[in-house]
Amino acid sequence: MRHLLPWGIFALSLLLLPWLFPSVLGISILNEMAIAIVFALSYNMLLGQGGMLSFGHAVYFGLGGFLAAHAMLGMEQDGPVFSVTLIPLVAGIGGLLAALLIGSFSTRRAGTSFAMISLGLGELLAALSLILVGFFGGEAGISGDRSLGPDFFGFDFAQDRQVYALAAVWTFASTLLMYLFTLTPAGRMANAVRDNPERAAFLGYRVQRVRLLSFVVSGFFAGAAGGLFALHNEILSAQSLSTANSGNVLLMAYIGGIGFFIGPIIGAVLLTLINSVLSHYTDLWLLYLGISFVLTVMFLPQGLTGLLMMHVAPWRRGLLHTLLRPYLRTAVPALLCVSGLLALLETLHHQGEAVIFLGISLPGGQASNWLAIVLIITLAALDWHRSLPALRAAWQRATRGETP
Amino acid sequence: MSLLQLQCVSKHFGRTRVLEDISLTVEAGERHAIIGPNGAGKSTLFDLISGRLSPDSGSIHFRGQAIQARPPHELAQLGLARSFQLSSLFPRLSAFENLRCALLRPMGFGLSLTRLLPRAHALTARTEALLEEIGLAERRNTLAAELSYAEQRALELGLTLASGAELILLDEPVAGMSRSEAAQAIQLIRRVTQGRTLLLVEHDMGAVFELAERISVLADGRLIASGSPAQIRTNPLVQQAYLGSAIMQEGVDA
Ligand SMILES: Nc1ncnc2c1ncn2[C@@H]1O[C@H](COP(=O)(O)OP(=O)(O)O)[C@@H](O)[C@H]1O
Ligand SMILES: [Mg+2]
Repeated sequence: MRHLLPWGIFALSLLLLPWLFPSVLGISILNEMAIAIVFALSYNMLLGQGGMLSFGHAVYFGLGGFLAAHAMLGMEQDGPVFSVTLIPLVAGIGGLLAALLIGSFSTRRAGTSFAMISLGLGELLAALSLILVGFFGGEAGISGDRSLGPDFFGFDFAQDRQVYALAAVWTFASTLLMYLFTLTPAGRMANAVRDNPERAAFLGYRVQRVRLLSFVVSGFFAGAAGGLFALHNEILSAQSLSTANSGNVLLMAYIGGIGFFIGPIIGAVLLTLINSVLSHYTDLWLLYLGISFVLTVMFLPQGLTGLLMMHVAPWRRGLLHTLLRPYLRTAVPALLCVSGLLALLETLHHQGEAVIFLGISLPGGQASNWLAIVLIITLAALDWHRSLPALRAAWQRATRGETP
Repeated sequence: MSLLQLQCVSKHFGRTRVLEDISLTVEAGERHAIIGPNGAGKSTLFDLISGRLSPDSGSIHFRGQAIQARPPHELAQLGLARSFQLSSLFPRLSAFENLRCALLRPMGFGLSLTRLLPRAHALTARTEALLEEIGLAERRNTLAAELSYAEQRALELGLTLASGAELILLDEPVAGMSRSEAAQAIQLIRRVTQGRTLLLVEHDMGAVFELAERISVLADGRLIASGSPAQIRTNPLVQQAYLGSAIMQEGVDA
């Protein structure tokens, strides 16, 4: 029963969040989160579970999306053919077939050659999308009306809420299926091939087939995510299969933690929030995102989930509370230091203009201002540094189970 | 017909001839050891038989089929399993998961997308039993990368024995184990290879004389002798190849 608890929480969150954030923007962000979860989980099926670093996963997302857009467009012209609820399935099958075609040669090797092929194909498709105007719609993209399918138990999917309901059901089902995949022989052998392809071959497995199977399943869910995206936006442009989108899903999976099933979910939720909320407040959000990624790679190779999981051992020992004080002690100067750095970057960016930072108006272009900020950063950094030995000691006590 | 037959097999790396004109037969049910000084070419011979490398000339037949150009996974499917002198494990999987991966194919799970491992009770039971047999029951959930050297050797042996293959190739299976661990491993090898065919490379002459009914001696890439343990002990060529080495002496005492 205990392993059903996370699924209950997940289902309940999907169900209750639209009531907590009922605004148009709220529903829209929730929709994007649901889509990002499916996309990031499908990506991690390659990277975390299969050891295949792809720089072109948006290809399957985008192709699925365009297929979905064409399905909607078709219904606009030929009338309702099949239920809109099945559009993600159509998109998924599109992603699956594309993955079968491309994977048949790209999965021969993992490592650098796989990564390079994925990057090359990503660029190729982005270029094709501007050439094959019939399918990709050129600069304008392809738009379709999602409300023209046959009624589905009174849903016509004209409203965002109804589309969210559809996305939530698809996201829950996809997440469950991708989780079950990790428990199948195919999923386990994907881990084995990630770790040691040669040994897997000597156990009687054709490693390319093991990789291809993961790749195709992953392509299906990426395509389905693209289909949900098309339903949500009702327009699809070449942006969706660009390398930028491929990079984005890599960030989600990595920052969330590729070593855990739940990692990409956490990354998807967080990055969707950052993308849509932070971008309202600052033009520099992409810079911040990039810095967060670099810091994650350097200091948290297990991602945010890894950071959370590190606390399981002290928690089991009942020593989690002993970390609270040293954490607070470190957090105060750390936050001050980071805020100072952000203020510095923002004032540099808006040279000469006033910047509202954390509710404080910082008149731009004044040397005294910058000097004050730099002073704050320096002092905070020093204090931050001084707080670390105590934190380290507390951490060791908590993980080794010695009470102070 | 012999289970395994090598005819005039040669292999060189660049200019160095590592194996020269090797002809060797292994009968079904036989326990056959290959001994020889370091660098004699024993591991290279295993690489050729198991499909990791292909010979420059000569032929290798397994169960009557020419196998010298077949990839490792096909040979494994034909019933050939091998261990590696340097443990070749799945480092980020637990000891249990390592063994389960090795048991998937022999127990008919293949690459199934519809069966769930937690529900495969027979598979789990078989994995636990094998884990017990190789003495790693207590290290069930430890990642292979975090096992000690001797434990990794035990797991390496487990991965190979799990296959239930007709022909089992073991490359120095007890090297690096303590005396008692080695004795246990030898018992396990003896039991698991009952009714199967074993080709063994080992420096521990105690293990060789305990396990093998036939011994072939490789020196400098050539097969210089082949026969029963008694014949090998008294063979003047072998004694010459081992001149200055205490290995044969140790074997005689054992
Ligand atoms: N991949 C390789 N490239 C070049 N030389 C090799 C290679 N593998 C083995 N050798 C050489 O071949 C000879 C036989 O090696 P090996 O088969 O490992 O011997 P053994 O297992 O009997 O100790 C050694 O001299 C070794 O240096
Ligand atoms: Mg060797």
